[in-house]
Amino acid sequence: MNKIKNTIIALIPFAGLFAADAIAVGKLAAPFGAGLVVIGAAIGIGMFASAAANATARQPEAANDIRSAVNLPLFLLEGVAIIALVVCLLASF
Amino acid sequence: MAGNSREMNGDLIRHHVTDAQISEDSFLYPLANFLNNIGQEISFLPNWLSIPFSKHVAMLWVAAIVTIGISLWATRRYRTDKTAQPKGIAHIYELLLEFIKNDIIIPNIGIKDAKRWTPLAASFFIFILMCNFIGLIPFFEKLGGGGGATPTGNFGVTLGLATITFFAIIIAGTLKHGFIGHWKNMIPHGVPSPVLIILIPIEIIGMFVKPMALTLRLGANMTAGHIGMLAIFGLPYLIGTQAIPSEGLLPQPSWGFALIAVMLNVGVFFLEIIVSLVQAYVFTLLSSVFIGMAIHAEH
Repeated sequence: MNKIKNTIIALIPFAGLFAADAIAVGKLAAPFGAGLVVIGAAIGIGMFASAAANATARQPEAANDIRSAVNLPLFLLEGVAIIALVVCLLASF
Repeated sequence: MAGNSREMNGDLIRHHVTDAQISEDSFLYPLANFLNNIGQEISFLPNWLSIPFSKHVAMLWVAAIVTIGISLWATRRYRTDKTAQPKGIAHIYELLLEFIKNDIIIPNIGIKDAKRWTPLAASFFIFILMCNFIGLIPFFEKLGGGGGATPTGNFGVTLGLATITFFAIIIAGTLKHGFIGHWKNMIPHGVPSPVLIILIPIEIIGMFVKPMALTLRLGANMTAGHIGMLAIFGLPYLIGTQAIPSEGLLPQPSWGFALIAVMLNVGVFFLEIIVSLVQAYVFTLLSSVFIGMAIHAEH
């Protein structure tokens, strides 16, 4: 325990060497956020497509109704994802 | 882009997708100068009447002329004889309007008010479609100070279109339920009072957020496509030899990567065509859904 504490205390002066890395790592935030947005949107839209395909397979006569029921939330979700992407883009310029 | 030693970074991309004044060596400069400074050219007009004419405004004018031209040309036979057969572009125009009326307006607004709101939806669809397609033609770089861009990628343009939707929602509710009735429809029946204190601000915020989402969705989709294409075109310059300004060397692209970049961009270009069609459809669909929600406020 004492050894660990001593090594940490010994390394504190070297923190200044990593300052430039901190600034560079700060630029990681915006593209990282864009990646997270894409994960969320992809999972959501994938669930939509899967539910629509399942429902159409159960009852092919209702294909048109299912398509119009899925249309609207699909585009709202895509809109949310694109708005978040615009915020990430603004943060990286 | 190879002529000057600009770096490949965010500024260069932003220069190519934003609006720009029309530069002096383009053929539209006399018109732009005249409209921008109307107060100085015609002495009896005040200066606040001047029309700010920039690159995106020129593209919007072309899209508007094409829209009005197609509509008038396709319906010229029906104006003299109501039972005429369609010929030429009237076939496609009729198909388009049938699609808009049967698949967008009637499921959302109902048959009774369909005839009143179909012109607005058709105008939205055709105008936004023409604007999006004009953004894909690389001609307008000759006009302004930057690369070509989509007029609907400019958030000002989409804000204007969404303002039309905003007022259309209010007008639709007023025509159906009366002026007070439209605002009363924000409060559903049978809701206990404490919930109302939260519900009414949410409804009011929603009234503004819905057109705002429309603007951001359309603008961001159009701009994102162009940014993607520009970034892929910058990849050969990023990988090739860099410029050395002290010796006057220009940046040389790496030709292997140039081939790959062009092939990728052909794919992105087809995706852009699909996205323009889809975004025009989505704008029209969501506008008619919001208008339908104002008309059928019972649920």
